[in-house]
Amino acid sequence: MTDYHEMWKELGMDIESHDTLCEVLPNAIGDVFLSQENRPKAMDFWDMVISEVHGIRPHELIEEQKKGRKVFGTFCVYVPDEVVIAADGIVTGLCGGSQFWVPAGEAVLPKSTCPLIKASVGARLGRTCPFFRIADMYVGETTCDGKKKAYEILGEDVPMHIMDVPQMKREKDIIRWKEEIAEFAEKVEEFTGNEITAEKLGESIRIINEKRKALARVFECRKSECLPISGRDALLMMQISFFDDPVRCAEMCNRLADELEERISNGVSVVPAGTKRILLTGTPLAVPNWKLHNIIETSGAAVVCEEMCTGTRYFENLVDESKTTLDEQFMALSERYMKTNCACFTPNTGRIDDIQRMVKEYKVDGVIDCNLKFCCLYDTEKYSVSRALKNEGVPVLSLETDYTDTDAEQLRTRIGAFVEMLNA
Amino acid sequence: MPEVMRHYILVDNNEQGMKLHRILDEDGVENRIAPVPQSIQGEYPCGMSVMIGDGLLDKAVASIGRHGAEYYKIVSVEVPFMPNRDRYC
Repeated sequence: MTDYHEMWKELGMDIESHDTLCEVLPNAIGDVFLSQENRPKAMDFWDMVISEVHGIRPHELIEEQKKGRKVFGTFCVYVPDEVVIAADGIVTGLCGGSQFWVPAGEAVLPKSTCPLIKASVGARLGRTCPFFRIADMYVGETTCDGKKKAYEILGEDVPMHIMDVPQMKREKDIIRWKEEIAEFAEKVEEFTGNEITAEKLGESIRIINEKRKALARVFECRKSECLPISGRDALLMMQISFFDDPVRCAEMCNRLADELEERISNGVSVVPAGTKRILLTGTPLAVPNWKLHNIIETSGAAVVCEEMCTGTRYFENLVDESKTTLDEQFMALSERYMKTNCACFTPNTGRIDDIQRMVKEYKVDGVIDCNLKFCCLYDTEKYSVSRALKNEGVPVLSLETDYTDTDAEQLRTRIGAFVEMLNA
Repeated sequence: MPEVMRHYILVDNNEQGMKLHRILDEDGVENRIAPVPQSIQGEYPCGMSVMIGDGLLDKAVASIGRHGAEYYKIVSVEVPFMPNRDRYC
């Protein structure tokens, strides 16, 4: 068997502590994923990746670094992968979805920080995430105050570039974001030693658009009344897409979509007819955060869509591929990324429009709006999301949670009651 | 929940594991990629394995033999999958 301990040791990881994470993962994967009946065969790729989530991809990244390529670790869907890839760099997500990392984060951050940020900082400082160890540069962004302060700590011993995300979406903000992207491109060129040409950027725009289209194909299948994939499996696919090579990601998602389309035409569903369909909206669910999906789907409902960064916000809207100069391409990138509706913007009515549209597209019976604890932005938006949905007669349940298991029973009670109400 | 016997085919690396997975698929032996279970991680490193359900071991072994497929070891373990356990990572 491949033993990654030597690789982790060379990365300077805390092996003993990391082994305790390795110990709990198989049970969680078994309970959440392998307990399901009638899963698509094409999930085998993601089963393999998650089984060796800190082995396979980190090993690939290290091999690419040996060839002189640089790895950029990112935290947010606003960072344009296209720019990094155009300079022959590699983009990877970073760890941040487990309670395992939270205590090490709380050692330096206030406890009243969201678990995603605490886990990210804990994963870095505790030396228990290979991706944090491998990344040559971290790319942060100003999407919330907690992250801004965390980046000051994370940037102490690894090069860090921060992109200043506008807080509004006026024309001048889109131009400002374009300038921010152009500045990021200069930084990436300098760091990699590779020039970004219009030709290279055009190709990387095409690559990432293909990845978006492939993810969208899978989500398109989730709109079917004959539901060919569980929310848990779709979430796993989405979570891994932040770490994978984009070309392979598109290939695997298209392979999955082929099977799902066939399942739909053959009437193969993973749930009984009449199972209530849930749209989940709110803060991101970084791997291995599977709690909400598992509770919802073992409470008699199915998650058919995630309006979140680990969901539709990641792939909706393509970048215009027709532009031929860098200046035009940076603008095209800005226009696409500024269509993403995050609670860091004011106003953010576009998110409500998105949710209302998706309720119809995905034939949703009820919406669960959930934020991670201490995420003031998404917590505040619950009011307007809930009001808009209720005005349209769409049942909505607002929740708040973190990465601990301690509220699972309470969540089961509330979600169970919500599903029961939908069934009434 | 009663414990269920499952057989885990341990492999040298993920390429070998995926090849074995495809061979078993082709021969109609139901199998899934699964992490090496926690209960045997002291003896073997963590990583992927090919999991088959109880009652399919003979078919799997025959398929492996027919194709001369490579693997490291087969370990049989009682592993309960409990979707309502609510023990996450």
